[in-house]
Amino acid sequence: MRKPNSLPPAGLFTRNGVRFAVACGVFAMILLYLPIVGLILLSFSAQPLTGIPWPLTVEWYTSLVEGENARWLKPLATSVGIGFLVSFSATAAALLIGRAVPLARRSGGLLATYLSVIVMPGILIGIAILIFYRGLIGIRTGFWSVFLAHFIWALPFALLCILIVVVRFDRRLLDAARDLGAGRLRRFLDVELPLLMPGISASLFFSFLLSFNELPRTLYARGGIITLPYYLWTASSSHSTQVSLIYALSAVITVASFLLTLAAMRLLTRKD
Amino acid sequence: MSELATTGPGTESDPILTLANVRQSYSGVLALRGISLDVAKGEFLTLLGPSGSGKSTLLRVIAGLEEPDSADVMRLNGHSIVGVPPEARNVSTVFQHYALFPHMSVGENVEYSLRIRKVAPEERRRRAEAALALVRLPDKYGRRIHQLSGGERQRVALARSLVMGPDILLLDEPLGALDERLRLDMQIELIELRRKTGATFILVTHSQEEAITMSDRIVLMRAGTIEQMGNPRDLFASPATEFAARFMGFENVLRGRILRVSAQDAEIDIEGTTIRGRVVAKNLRPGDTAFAAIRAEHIHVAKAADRTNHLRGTAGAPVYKGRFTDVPFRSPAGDLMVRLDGADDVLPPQADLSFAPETCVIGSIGPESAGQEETSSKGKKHD
Repeated sequence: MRKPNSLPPAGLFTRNGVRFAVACGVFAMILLYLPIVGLILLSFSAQPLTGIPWPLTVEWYTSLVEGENARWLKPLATSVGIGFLVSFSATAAALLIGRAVPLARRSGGLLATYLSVIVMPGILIGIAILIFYRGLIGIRTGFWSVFLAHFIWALPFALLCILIVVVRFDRRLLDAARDLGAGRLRRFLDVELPLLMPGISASLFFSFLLSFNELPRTLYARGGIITLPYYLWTASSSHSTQVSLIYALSAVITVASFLLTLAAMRLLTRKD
Repeated sequence: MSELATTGPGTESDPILTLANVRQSYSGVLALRGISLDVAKGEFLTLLGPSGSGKSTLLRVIAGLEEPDSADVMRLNGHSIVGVPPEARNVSTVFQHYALFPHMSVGENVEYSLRIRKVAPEERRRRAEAALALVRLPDKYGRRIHQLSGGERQRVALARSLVMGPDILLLDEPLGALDERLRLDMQIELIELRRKTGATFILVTHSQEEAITMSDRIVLMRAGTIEQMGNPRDLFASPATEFAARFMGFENVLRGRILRVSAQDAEIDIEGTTIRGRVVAKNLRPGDTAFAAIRAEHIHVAKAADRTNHLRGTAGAPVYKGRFTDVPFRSPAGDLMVRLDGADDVLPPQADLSFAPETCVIGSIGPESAGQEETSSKGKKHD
């Protein structure tokens, strides 16, 4: 790999500019990871609520899976389940829409309409979903209403992932496949799908993550079900006996997510 | 390699492709204005023309990638292909941009049409390697597309199209993206390939030099119609229209009025100068507006023995071209480009120019020629 300072200075990137950029990058990195590292440290603390890491212990980790304390397992299962459903359905929908958008006559406005959901406050969307879908249409809150809320949340992001690969896709390849005898299905499976795969995997990954971490919309749409973020939120905001465990649990989830992301990045940036 | 050649050279009476009155338009602009064409088995046919002449559109219509607005007859190998989708037509296209599948290896690309046709893997591999050997890429089976040079990609595209044994191989400006040297090599190789496979080739190009080098027959197109059709010698020596003359590389095309016409030759008055030449148009009458076309290399300096086609010209700034020098001359009949073999000759400012009547072609400017210049710039969708 080439060192960054071996590049000749260009534009804003004078020698001092590069130094400044590196400094900013390091600062951002510290800002991002300091609280997470702190949290992980606290999860090994015998008295986590004091905010002092030592004396160190692994007590919380061992008690995470014991009897009454293992209540987090069900929210985890719920969140993973909804996450997978959202991931697949949002990606499938994004693929359908994304392939059509570049062909549409006024794709700009269409795109803005799809993507502007991103900027609306989550709490408002949650309330709106609750009022509209429950009050007017009569959908009962619970698993499927949470799924719906997450789906709406994830779709614009999934669409972005798909659009990036769709606009770069060379449609002339479909002519070539057709010319060689491929029918509609074969053209999609053999040519379009593999070439759109980077976007599709990115969409699957981010949709899952968005759903897995979602809280504000879930608050209103959840009905009786408990997702993992909701569980962590309630447990850490009430001074229950669980609260010491939350640090350990958060640390476990953080490390697991980190490893998953690493694996996904490997997969996405893989060279053929 | 016999499996690559499904069609042997056939006879004129047995056309592999018949088109009659094919019409096509894009959003109101006519791209094809009733094209009728027979292609013989094993023929190397070239569709030649400038951008927007409809040559690429015609190729896509034959491939099935465009559905024509109307067609009286479209028959491929004895079967009507009106409304038949491209995947069901046994023709194959080599695209200008190659359109190789970037996510597949060279071998997978070449085998694709066989995979679709459910040919067994070993058979597929054997035929793919035979096709790659045919295009002189025998050891590239496992390569990725991005590892290949432009010329190699071109060959892979050829192998991919040939492997299925198409009734007709369609080539859409396949040499356009190659550099000069490679292009000349590929011209020879395409001729060889056609000879080895005996397949029917239809080539689209805007290069008259390419068309003349490779084809058995050239179809010169202009604004969605066929301007002239014939073998390379016919088109090169006897362009029937002013457009054809210019397109076939006649540097000097002058307009005048017919004075006298006989069966073989005619005399034309250009700005007061009488020029004698070969007649290439029927129905030419004295008094008609006509053109006279002469190639730069056929005009000679200071050979005033014969008084026919003799002009006195003033030399302009010469353009050195390496093997020869082009010198523009002002003459009473108009500007003339003269090609001199001796690149270093020193010219007097005034010179006597002459050319043999048999090297000068005289044809009519039809009423249709005048209004078509604008339309030829429209409908550029595939050029």
